[in-house]
Amino acid sequence: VANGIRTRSGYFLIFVKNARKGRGYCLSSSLEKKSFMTWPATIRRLAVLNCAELFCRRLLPNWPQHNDIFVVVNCSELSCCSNWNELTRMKIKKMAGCAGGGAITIQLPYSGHFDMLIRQLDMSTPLAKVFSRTGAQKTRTTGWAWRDEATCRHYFADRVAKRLKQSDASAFLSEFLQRMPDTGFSPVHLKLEASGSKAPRVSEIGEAFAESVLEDFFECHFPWPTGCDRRETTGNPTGPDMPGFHLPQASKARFAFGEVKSSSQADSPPIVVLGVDQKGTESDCLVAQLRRLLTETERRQTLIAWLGFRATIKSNWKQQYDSTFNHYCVTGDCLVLGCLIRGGVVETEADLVDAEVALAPLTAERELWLFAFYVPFHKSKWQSIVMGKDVPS
Amino acid sequence: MKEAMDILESIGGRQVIEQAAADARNRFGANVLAAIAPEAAWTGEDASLLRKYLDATELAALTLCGEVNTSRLVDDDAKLLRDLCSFAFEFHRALGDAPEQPQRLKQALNATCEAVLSNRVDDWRRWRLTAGWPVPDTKAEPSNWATHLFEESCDAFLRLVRKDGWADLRAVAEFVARLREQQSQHEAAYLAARNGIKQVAALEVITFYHFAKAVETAAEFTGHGRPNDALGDVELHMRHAIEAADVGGIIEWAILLRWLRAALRRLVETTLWHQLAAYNHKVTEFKHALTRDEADWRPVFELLPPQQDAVHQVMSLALRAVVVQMPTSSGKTLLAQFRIIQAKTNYPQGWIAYILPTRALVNQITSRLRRSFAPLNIRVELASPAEEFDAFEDQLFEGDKFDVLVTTPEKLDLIIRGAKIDLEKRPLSLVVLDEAHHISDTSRGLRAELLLATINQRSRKDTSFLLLTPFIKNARDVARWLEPDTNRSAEVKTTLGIDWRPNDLLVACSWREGKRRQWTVQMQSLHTTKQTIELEKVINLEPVRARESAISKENTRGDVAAETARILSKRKSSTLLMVLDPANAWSVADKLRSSAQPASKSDKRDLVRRFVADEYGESFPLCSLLDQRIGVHHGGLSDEARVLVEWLMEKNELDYLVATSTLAQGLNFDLTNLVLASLSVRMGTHTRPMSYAEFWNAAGRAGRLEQNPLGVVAIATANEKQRTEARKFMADKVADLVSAMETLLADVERLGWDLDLVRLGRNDPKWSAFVQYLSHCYRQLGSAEKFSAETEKILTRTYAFTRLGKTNPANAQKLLEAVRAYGAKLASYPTGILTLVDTTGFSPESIVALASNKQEYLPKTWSEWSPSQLFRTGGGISAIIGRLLTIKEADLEGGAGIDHVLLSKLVVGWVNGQNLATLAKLVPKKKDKSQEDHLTDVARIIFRSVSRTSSWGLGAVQRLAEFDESKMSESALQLFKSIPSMIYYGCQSVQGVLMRSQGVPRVICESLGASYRQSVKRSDNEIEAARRWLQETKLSDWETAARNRSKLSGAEHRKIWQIINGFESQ
Repeated sequence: VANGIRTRSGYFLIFVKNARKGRGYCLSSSLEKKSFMTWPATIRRLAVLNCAELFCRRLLPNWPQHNDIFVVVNCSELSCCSNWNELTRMKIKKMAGCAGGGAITIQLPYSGHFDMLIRQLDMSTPLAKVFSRTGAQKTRTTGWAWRDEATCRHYFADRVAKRLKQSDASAFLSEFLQRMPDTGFSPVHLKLEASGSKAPRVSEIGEAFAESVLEDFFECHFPWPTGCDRRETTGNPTGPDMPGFHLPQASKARFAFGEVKSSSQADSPPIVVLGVDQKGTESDCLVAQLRRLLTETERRQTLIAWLGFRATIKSNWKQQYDSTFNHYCVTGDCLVLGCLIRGGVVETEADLVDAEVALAPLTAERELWLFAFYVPFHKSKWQSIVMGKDVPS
Repeated sequence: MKEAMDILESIGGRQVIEQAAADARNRFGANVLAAIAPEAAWTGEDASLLRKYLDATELAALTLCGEVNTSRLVDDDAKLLRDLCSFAFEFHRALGDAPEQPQRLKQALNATCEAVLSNRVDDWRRWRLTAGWPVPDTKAEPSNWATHLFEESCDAFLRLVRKDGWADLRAVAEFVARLREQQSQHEAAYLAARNGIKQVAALEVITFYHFAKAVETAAEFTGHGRPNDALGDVELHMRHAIEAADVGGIIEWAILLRWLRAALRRLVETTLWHQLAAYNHKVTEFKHALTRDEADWRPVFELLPPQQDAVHQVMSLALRAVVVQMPTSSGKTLLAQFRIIQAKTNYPQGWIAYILPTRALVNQITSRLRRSFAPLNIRVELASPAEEFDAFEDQLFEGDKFDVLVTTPEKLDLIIRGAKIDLEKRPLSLVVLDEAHHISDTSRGLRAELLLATINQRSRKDTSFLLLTPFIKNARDVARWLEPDTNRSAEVKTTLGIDWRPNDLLVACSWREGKRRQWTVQMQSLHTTKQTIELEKVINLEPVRARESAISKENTRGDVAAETARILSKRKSSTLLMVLDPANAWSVADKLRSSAQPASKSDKRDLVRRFVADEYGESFPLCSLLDQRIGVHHGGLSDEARVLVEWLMEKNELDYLVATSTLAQGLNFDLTNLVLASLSVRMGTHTRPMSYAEFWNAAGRAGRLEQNPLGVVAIATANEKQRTEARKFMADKVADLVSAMETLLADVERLGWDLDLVRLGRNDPKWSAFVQYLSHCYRQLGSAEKFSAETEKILTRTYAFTRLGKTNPANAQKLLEAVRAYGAKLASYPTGILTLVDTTGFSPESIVALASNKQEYLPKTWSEWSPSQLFRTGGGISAIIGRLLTIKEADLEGGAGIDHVLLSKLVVGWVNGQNLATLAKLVPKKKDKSQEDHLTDVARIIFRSVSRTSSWGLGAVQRLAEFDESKMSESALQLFKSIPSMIYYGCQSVQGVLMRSQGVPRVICESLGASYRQSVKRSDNEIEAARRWLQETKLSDWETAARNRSKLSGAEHRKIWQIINGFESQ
C-alpha cells in the first residue's frame, strides 16, 4: 500500500510502507514495470526493498524528474527508532530543500505512525482555533471549529465512517454466536443483532470523530477500536472512550486517555459536560468521568493493562506500548483528554469554562487537555452523513 | 516477570511493597482491635498511598496472570504472583470496601480473585463476614439486563469462592438457571435500546453468558467432580468472554474477566476432584464421601494450600516414611485419611494404627474418622487409653474387626509388645503418628519413639509411617531414622503452606499501668517469627479510670489475665485463658465472675451444668460459673465434664474458658482471644517452661472463628521481668525435634549420676519406657548372647541413638555400654518377668518388685478376686494398693500425700458409683484449701491415681496371680479381665465397663448396661454391638436407666452420650 500527497511547500511525497526487510522483491510479480510507468506521474504506487534509491532508479530511469521525494517507510516490527518523529521530519525537510528531489528510507516503529506522519506533514488543518484558555499549568482548554461544511461532511463520510467501519463488530459477533449454545443461553436475539448492517449510534460517531481528529491533528494514536461508555447500562466498566498514546515531537510518548461527549444542545455548557441527576449529585457527565480519570490511578492502570494485553496481540504497536509503559512506570506521566463534540451550535468557551474550573485543581500531577470541536451540522444528521447520505459529490 | 518487577521498581521496589503490605496487615489488625480499644487505630500511611501501592501491585500481578495460564507458571513467577496477590489482598482489606456500588462490588471481586490466587480464601471468608456481602442488597431488575447479569453472575462467583456448604453451590446453579429463564424476556429490549455498530451491548451480554457458564461449570465440578474436563471448559468460556470484552472494548470488565479467569482456574484446581484425580476407586469413593450433600455433614470441597502441597507425597506408596510438617489447623487429619485409604487399598488385609497423645484427641479423631469413612466401609475403632485390656478389647483384637485403630502410644505399645494382634496374620500396614513433635516430651515422648522403633523392627518393612508435626528443622532426619533409604523416605515441607497462616494473629503482652486505684491495662505487640500483627505503639486497652482494687506489686498474672480477658471479650467473642494449675483456674474464673454479664438461659449450658452438679454437687463453683458463660477446664474434672465444657466453647456458649495445660494438647476448637497467665506448664508436681511448639499450637487456634477476622494472643504479665521473658520467648525459632532420651541423658550427666539403667528403671518413671524397650528386644532375641551381639543394632533403631551419634558421640558410647550392662541384668530375670513387662507396661524392675512376696498382698482365690469382695471396705484392694504405692514407676501417690487405706477407700467408692462430692468427704480437707480446691484435688486423685494408675497396677498384679484362664468359665473370665477397667471407668459390672467404654455417663452405665444385656445376649464383637445398640435403642431405655439414679433425665443422658461421642451434630 502506498500513498502520495502534495505538501504545503509544493513538493510531492510518495510513501511506500510495509517493505519487509530481507524478503526480496516486494513488488508484486503481477506488477510490471510497464504498467507501473503508465500510472499517473504524480501518484506512483510501488513497493520496494530496503534500498529505495536503487529500486527507484531501476524502475524510473528518468528519475528524478518531478522534484519528487520518495520516502520509503519500513514499518518492520524489528526496527525501532526511539525519536523517529524528529528524525523523520529532519530527513524529509532536508530532502525537500534539495533541488531535484531524492529518496530516503526511514523506519517507523509501527504502522500507526505512518498515517499520522502523512497527516502531520501534509494536510493543512481544516480546524480553526476559536478559543484557547490556560486555566492552570497543566490544563489546556481549546475550542476548534470546522467551518467548511463540505469538507467536514466528507471527513465524516470518509475518515469517520472508515473508523466506524473498522470498529463494526458484527462479524465478530457472528463468530461469537457460533459458540453461544455451549453456554446454555439462547442466541436467538443476538443473531438478529449480528445480521445486517447496524447503524452507528450518535455516541459512537462522536467518539470516532474525536479519535480521528486527535490522531490527525493532535499527535495522538488510538490503536484499537474501543467500546462506548458502558456505565449507563451495566454501571460497570470504567469506559474511557479512548485509551491510546500521545506521541509528541518534542518529548517522549505517553499514554493518553480520553472521554468524549457529543451534544447539540443549545445551552452552554450542555448538560453532558456538568450535569447533575435528580438527587442533585453529579451524574455521569464529562467532568465526572474526567475527575475519575485524573484522580483514580486504578482506572488509568486498568486502561494501561488492557492496552498491554492488546499490544501483545496487535504486536505492531507492542514496542510503542513497551516504551510508553516504561516511561509511565518511571514518571507516572500520562495525558487526559476531554472532548466535547458540538453539532450545529454557536462556538463559545462557556462550553468548557466550568469544566476547566472544576478539574484544574486535580491536574497537579498530570496534564488535562479539554477540547471542544464544533462541527457545522446538528448531531441528528451525523448518522445519515457517515452512512454516505447528504455528502456533496 | 521483568515487567512486573519494573512496575514494582517504579514505586520503590518489591521490598517497599512488601513492607507496605505488612503495614497494611498491621493496619487491618489494629483497626479491628480499635473497635474495643480506640487507641489501637492505625495512624500510619494514608489511604491514598495504600491505593497507590494497590494499583501498582495489581498491575504487576496482571502482567503475570492476565494472559498467561497461571497453572503453567513455575517457581519464581508462581511465587511472585502469589506474593503480589497476597499484598494486593492486604491493601484491599486495609482500605476496606468502596462506599458505593458498583465500585464496591468491582473492588470486592478484585480482592476475591487476589485472595484465591494467594491461597487466602479463609482470610477472605472471615473478612467478608465482618465487612458484609459486597453484592447490592437490592439487585438490579432483570429489565436492566446487563446490570442484572453482572450482579447475578458475580454473586454466583463469590458464592463459589465462599462455598458455605452445599447451599452456596446450589445457589450458583439456581442463579444461572434463572438467568437463562429471564433471558428471553429481557434481552431483546435491552439490545434494541443499547446496541450500536460496535455491537458493544451484544458483546457484553455474551461475556456474561460465558462467565456465568464458567462459574456454573466450576461449581458443578466442585460439588460433583463433573464434567471431567471442567478446567478446559472453564478456560474455554472465559477465553470467549475475554475475547468478546476485548472486541467490544469493554475495558474494565475485560481486565476483571482476566482476574476472574485466573481465579476460576485456581478454584477448579484446588478442588478435591482435581487434586486427587486418577488415584484409585477408593480415593474416588472418598471424594464422594467428603463432598456428600447430607444434612449435618459439612462437606469438604477443596484442599487447603498446605494440603495441596503435601497430598501427593503423602499418598505416594513408594514412600515408606513421610514426615509432614504443617501448621496448626491446616488439615493434617484429612491428609492422613488419604494415606489410610491408600494403605487400605494397597494392603486390604492390613490394619492401620492412628496414634494420638491424649484421650480427648483419640475420641475426637475416632468420631471424625468414623463419619468420614462410613460410606467406604472402613471400620474405625478406638482402643481406650487405659493401660490394660478388658474382655471386650481382647475380643476386638481377635480376627478382623477393624481397619483403623485409634489409640495412644502407650496402649499401642502394649498391643504390639503384648502381641494382642497377630502381626503375621494381620500386618500393620500404616502407622500415623499425629502431633509427632511430642516425641521430645520427656514425660511420654520416649514411649512413642520406642514404639515406632519396635514396630519398625517387627514389621519387616511392611509398615509405612506417616508422622504429622508442626514445623521442625530436622524432619528429614526423622524420616531417615524410620527409613534410611532416601528414595523411600521424605519430609514434606509445603511451599504453598510455608507462609500460609491459618489466621491473622496479634501476639502481645499486657499489664496493668497506673497509680493506686486509677489504672488501666496496657498492651504492646510482640515481634514474632510468624508475621503476626504489630501495633504501632503501646496502647491503653481502656481509658484510665477509677477501679475497686488498687494497683500494687501484689497483683498476679492471673489478675492481669482476667482483666485483659474481660476487655478483649468485648469483641463478642470467645476467650480462652490458659493458667498454670487448677487453683489458678478457679481463682481467675472467680475474678471474671465479678465482671461477667448475666447470661440468658441456655439449654446447652443448663445440660452441662446439671451433669456437673450430678457428679460434683450443686455447690461446685463450675455450676454457677456456667450460668455466667464462664467455663473451667483442668485435670480436676472428669473426662466427660471436660469434653462437655469444650463442647460449650465450640458452640459459642461460653465467653471465657479458663484452662490449664490439660486442654492445650487436645485443643481442637477455634477461639478468638487467647490470654496466657503463664508461659510455664505444670507437670504433676513440677513446672517446666512452655515449649515454642506448644505455644503456637494453642495460638494457632486464635482468630479461626469465622465471626472475627483477628486472633489476639495476650501474655499477661505482672512485671517488667515477665515482659522481657515474653519478648525472649517470642524470639525463639523452629527447633530440631530432639529425642526425649537426649534430655534424659543430659539430666543424668548434669546430676552426676551413673548411667545405671537398673537403678534408673526402678526409680525414675521417665526411664521405664526405655528399659521396657530393651526388655522387649531381649525377649524377641531370646538370649543374652544375641542381645549382646545386637546391642548396637537395637539402639540404632531408636531416634535418640541416631541423633546422639552425630550430636554427642560420647553419650552415645556411654549409652551403648549401659545397655550392654543392662542386657546382663535382663539375662538374670526369669523369662516370665519379661513377658509381664510386655503385657503390663511396667519396667522389669517394677515387675520384680511386684512379684516379690506377692502372696502377701494378692487375693488367693477366685472369690477374693470377685468385684464384690475386692471392692469393699477391708477388701483385697487395700493390700494391692499398698504394694502399688511402693512402686515408684506407678507414682500412685502422685504427690497427693495420701495413704493406701484412704486410696483404697476412694477406689471402692469410685467403683461403687459414688459421686465426686461424696468421695471428697472421705479425704480430710486441708485448712488452707477452699472447698472447690479440695474437691478439685480429690477429683485429680480420682482421675489420676485411682482411675488411671490403680487400674493399670491392678491389671499388672492380676497377671501375677497366675490363674489358669482355661479353667475359668467364659463369664468368669470376662469378669476377671474387666476388673481393672471397673476402676478405670468407675463401675462395678462387666456391662458397666462396656457402656462406659462407649462413653455412657457413669451414673447410668450399670442400668443401661443391664438393658443392653437383655437386648443383646451375646456378640462376637461386643464393642461394635453396644455402639449400634446405643445408637438405635429407644429413648425409653435411657429413661428407665436414669430413673431414680440421676437428676438428669434419660434424654439428657443420651444427649451427653451423643456429645461425648461426637454424634451430637448428626
